[in-house]
Amino acid sequence: MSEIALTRVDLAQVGQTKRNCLKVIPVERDKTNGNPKSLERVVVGSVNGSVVCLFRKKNETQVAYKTPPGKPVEVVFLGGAVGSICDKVFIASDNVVRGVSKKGKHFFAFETNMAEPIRRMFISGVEMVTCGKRTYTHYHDCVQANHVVCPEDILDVVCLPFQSAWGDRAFTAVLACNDNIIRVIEASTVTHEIKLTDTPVTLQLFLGDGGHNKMHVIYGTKTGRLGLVDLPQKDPRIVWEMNTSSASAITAMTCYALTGNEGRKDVILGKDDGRIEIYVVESDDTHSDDIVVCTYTGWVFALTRIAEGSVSNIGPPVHAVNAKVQQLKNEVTELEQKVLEERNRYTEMISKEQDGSVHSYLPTFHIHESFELNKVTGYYILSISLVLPIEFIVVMSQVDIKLVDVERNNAVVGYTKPKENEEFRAIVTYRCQSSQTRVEMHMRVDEGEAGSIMVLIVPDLKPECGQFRRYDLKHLSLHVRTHSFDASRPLNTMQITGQFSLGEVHAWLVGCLDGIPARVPNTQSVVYTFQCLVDGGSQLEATAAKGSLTFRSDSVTTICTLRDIMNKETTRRNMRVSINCSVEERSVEHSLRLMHPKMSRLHDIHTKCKLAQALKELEANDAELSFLSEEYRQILNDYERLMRESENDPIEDTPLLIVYQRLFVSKWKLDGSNVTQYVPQLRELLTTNYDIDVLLSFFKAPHSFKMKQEQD
Amino acid sequence: MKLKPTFSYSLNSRILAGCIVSARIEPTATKETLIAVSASNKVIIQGVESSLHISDRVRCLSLLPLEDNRDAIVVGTDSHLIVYDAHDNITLFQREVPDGVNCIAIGSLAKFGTLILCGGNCAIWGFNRSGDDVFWTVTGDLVTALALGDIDGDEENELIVGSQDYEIRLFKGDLMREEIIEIDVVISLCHIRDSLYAYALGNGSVGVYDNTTRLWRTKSKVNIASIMVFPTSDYLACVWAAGKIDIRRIASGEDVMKEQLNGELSGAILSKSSIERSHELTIVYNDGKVRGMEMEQPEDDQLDPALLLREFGQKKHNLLVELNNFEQEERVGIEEASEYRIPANTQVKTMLHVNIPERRIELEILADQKVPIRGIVILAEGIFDGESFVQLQDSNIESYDSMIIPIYPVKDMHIEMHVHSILGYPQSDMVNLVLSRHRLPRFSRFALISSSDDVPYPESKVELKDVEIRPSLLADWIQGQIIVTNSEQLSLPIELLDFQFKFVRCQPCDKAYLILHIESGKLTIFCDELEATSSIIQSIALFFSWDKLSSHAVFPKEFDRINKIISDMDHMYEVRDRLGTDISEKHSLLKEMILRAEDSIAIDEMILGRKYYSRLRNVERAVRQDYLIGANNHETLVTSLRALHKMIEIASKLRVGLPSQAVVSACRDAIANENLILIPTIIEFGAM
Repeated sequence: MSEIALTRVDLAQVGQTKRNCLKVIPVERDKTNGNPKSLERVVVGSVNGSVVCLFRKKNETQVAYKTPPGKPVEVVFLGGAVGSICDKVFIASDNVVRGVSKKGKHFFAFETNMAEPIRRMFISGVEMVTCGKRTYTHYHDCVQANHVVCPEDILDVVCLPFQSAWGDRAFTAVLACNDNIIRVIEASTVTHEIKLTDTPVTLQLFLGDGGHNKMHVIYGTKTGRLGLVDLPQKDPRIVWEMNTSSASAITAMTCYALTGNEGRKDVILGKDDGRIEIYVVESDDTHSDDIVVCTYTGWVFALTRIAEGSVSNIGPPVHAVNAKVQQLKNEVTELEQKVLEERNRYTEMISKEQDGSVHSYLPTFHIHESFELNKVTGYYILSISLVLPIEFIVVMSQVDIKLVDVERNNAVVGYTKPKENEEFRAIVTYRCQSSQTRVEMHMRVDEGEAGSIMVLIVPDLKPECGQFRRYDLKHLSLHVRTHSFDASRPLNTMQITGQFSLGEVHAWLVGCLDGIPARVPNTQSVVYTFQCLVDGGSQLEATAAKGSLTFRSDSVTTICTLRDIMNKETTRRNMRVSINCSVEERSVEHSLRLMHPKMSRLHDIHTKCKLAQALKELEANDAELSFLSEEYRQILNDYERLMRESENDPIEDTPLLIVYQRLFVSKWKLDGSNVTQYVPQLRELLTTNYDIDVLLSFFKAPHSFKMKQEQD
Repeated sequence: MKLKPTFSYSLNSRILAGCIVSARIEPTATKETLIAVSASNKVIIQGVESSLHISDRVRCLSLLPLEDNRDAIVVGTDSHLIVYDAHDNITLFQREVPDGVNCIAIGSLAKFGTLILCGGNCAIWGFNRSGDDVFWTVTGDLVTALALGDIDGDEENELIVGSQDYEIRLFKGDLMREEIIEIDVVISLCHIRDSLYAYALGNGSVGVYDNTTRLWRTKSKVNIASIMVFPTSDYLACVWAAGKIDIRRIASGEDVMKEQLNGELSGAILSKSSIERSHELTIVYNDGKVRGMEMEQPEDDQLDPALLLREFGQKKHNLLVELNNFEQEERVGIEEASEYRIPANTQVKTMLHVNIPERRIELEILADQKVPIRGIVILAEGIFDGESFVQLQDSNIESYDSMIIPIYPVKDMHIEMHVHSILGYPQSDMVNLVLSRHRLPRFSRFALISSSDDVPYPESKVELKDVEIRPSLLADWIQGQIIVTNSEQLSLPIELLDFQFKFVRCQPCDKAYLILHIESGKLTIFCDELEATSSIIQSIALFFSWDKLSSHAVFPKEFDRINKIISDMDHMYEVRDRLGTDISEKHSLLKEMILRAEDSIAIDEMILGRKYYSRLRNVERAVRQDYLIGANNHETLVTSLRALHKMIEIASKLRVGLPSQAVVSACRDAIANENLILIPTIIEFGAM
């Protein structure tokens, strides 16, 4: 990773914005010397409906125009005649698409026939694509040409470039859908579905034009992965996929030649956690353009690359800054005065008010939130950002959660010990430092129990107010949707048959697993496959149809959990169903072997840690350590890393222990016996002298195993 | 402001947290030398090959300025204070401090002149330049931080003491003047100037006090490594163990610069890499790396203009949002609003009262107009684990517009509570919050009961002498120090001479009583809790501005305990001395055994060699055994000393002014003369 020094220059504060609402209008370059003919302009649309166009002159931000407020701006897109520069600004708000001229006047307004606000938009020449929550509509010269209803929420859309991609191919659009699928639509039919392991959130034509064959699309996912797909008419494929530096959703993406020369564009990512990452194809320093960024809270700023030493040149001259600061100061004082008046007026109103007909003010504030399972760490990540500073956040959970320390989090955390028999088992307060607008927390969750996490968010605002938010954890909270199933593993099955509709079965599945579409599919039967994140990757396959539901899994635990849920569910509804379980004996050994690598790694680290501590003491007392073997020297060198790893996942408290415990209890539960009294012994076996063969025999017969120990 | 790196080198050894100083070793030196203690218990001097070996575990390090413009190294260990002159390579003196030296402060104190003050276990020892033990006083707990500074402006230094019982105490000479209760162990103190000083706590708090008023505090989730005044006298540099440095304005606590370094830090000090230069911030990493930094433009107080613009821009934005909210709210129709909005004139009453039958303090929240209370969030230091308490209303309970929260204080201290009541209808996710502030009085643990209640008198008591007081006056003091639910109980006729104020102790403590018994102006406090009694006396004395108070204390159980400790202590000293000689004797025996064994092997006398080796094993085992006994003995000794010091401290706090001081000095004389048996009598009757 190379370092590029970037300096932040604030351009404007425009208020809360949505994704895809910032564009830089390209300028025509002089053909002879390549110099731009005019200044580049930045256009940004905010939630209050106003569109602002800015440019920089003499190192100061100038406003070219600002349209009056209205409905929230959903998308800002640039269009123009094919072959010329795309410098026409198009704004989508509600179900209307407007064109905004260079002077800020509407030169075009087109009311689509959509019944909901436009969420995504793509324009190329006279082709325009708009997407609602699930609908995709293509207009050719403002005449509806194609319409598709997608089975899942659409998160982003791009269209392959017109001239070169077509041939005999119909107009092709690419949709990023919430069910981890990238759908390719030709005319009005879905022709391809590319299954990913993660939810794609953003799409972008590779290198801005689709790459060499004009059919490459890059995508960014919810957990921060970046990938490239090639989408020819036949056989689309994933070219590559990679992790980025953090597991936060990629919310913005653009291709621009920032460091390399033209044609070798870099990929610039913006992420939910506020990081900006630049992926370079080739690095040589020639250009010095700026990246313009717009944050959720409404800051528009440029990151500019300037040689060390000339930093002072990027800002306006000092006296200008002082004037500006003074001006802002005055404005702030004026506003403070106004706010104070309003506050007083409000207090007065409250005190005068007698008959109860006036209601208290309850300011609304928008919360940008996400609650996602991170596939790498197996933690749930809850992130909350506001456009205002946060005063405090209270997290209350019905299920046991463990909060893992996040380095970037500087809120002061306080735990409240919940009372016995209280609904909530964990209560945590996050008190934020001044002007903090975002909090991210990582939670460790054990599978098997469902419940909700209530969050109270209180911003620094008068009159004091707050909002409750609720996030649900399902029974199989650590299972993620996959697209494949390995039938060659030893599989346990459970079948439920009875008088129930596909709709009911579907509702049960939605109740215990994440990643299932909310709508009942239109087919006779449906198959979903899942993978568990914590036990080394056991699988689950659910086949639902009218009157029957079949689960197949190589994990006894999963089957046992599902049996309990289904039992409860059907009894609650007074349904007569028959539940059949068949346990495959070999699956237990298979499960243990699946977990073996993780467990032995933990033990390895644990042992090495102990050694490292002893070696460290040796080192402290005697500087001469040349007699140490290579292995020990290595351990000593890795001291910090080992300590950190062992601290992050201590053997006495690793989530794996719970997984083993549940497997053990489930196995015997399905056999009809209760083995909870052997659990402490299991823990001891796992934490002290882990040996997979001993463990296997213990799992087979805990009763007789005890005897053996006594004989020894 | 920006930190600029100036130098960097490595000490090639892991460094003990906090044990770092920068000294002038040579009288002619043009620069200061870094001295630190390694994790292997060696005193390392920068640029000097050999290190100083200390047999005891080193706990702290300091410097004593000598006459000829150089410094001597002062080392505090588990049991000794050592003053070492590196230039002449001699130990100037070594003194025994049996309870260990936890921290050192050096400077002039009142009439004593320059002192090396050592923070021990419940005691503070002071030695002068020649090593004479000239100062000794007691304090509440293990001393964790010391600083010297002229707090009251009388041109004499006062001693600031931070201890493990979460308190900061100010001493004038050997007498405690002020006591400030914090919420965690005080790990660092730093005198700034005049009456200003900074402190850092074990829970990650940092703040500044002006005498006894806190100017500001801030909290982080990591611990502080060092605090110091840098780069000018208006700024405080906070260096955190996790590698964060921030510079804050002393007056407001506002941070003007932040920097994050990679790696764990052992500490930071100010040093001069050349005599002419100003101080540089020297950071020492855990692994021995040292980095120096100086401020780029220390004179320029101006913030980065871009930052300033951003700050104001954000402020403007926030204000606009608020204004916008007001405008929007005005447009909301009544129909729409009534669905989930509470009436504007809703009043929320929050009050503290005592539930006497249940013996507990309760916070009651009441909303009028049948507005449901959804829950409560209380933010307060020092009463809940983690400074916050949250409770949501159980939706099954009928009385939806009220809530009762029991509160269990464990320490006698004032507590500020910020109570956020959450109001709103259950169907709505949006809620209103109402903030109210409450102050839990210092002795809230005691609840006033009727004086006619027949309750047993506790067997322990303190009779106050030299002062007379009327019940009606004492009632004024009670008013401010406990939660009074029924104030009629306290309105007493002024001419009343005899009265008993009776209190019951609240949960979580066991049921017990406190009785303030006044008989013709003589006040006797009946209470089994020794420490609480001393706090009550101090508080009453402060309230009535008594500058002199002696007393007669009767605490049968405590006296038995202290008598036992005293009688055991002689034995412990004896064991220690005996073991000391034993071990050194056996050490030489060990050495001899090894030589003989090896000799035997060299001359092929295998049988003899075997014999010597088995004898060696036996001796070695015996040494180990002795060592173990010694260690245990030392531990008990320290615990006993601590208990004794603590007892003396409380005894002194049962008096005020001169009588209080006299108790400490009388006890000190008793200890110095090894006449411990006098101590219980001093505690009981005072020393006049």
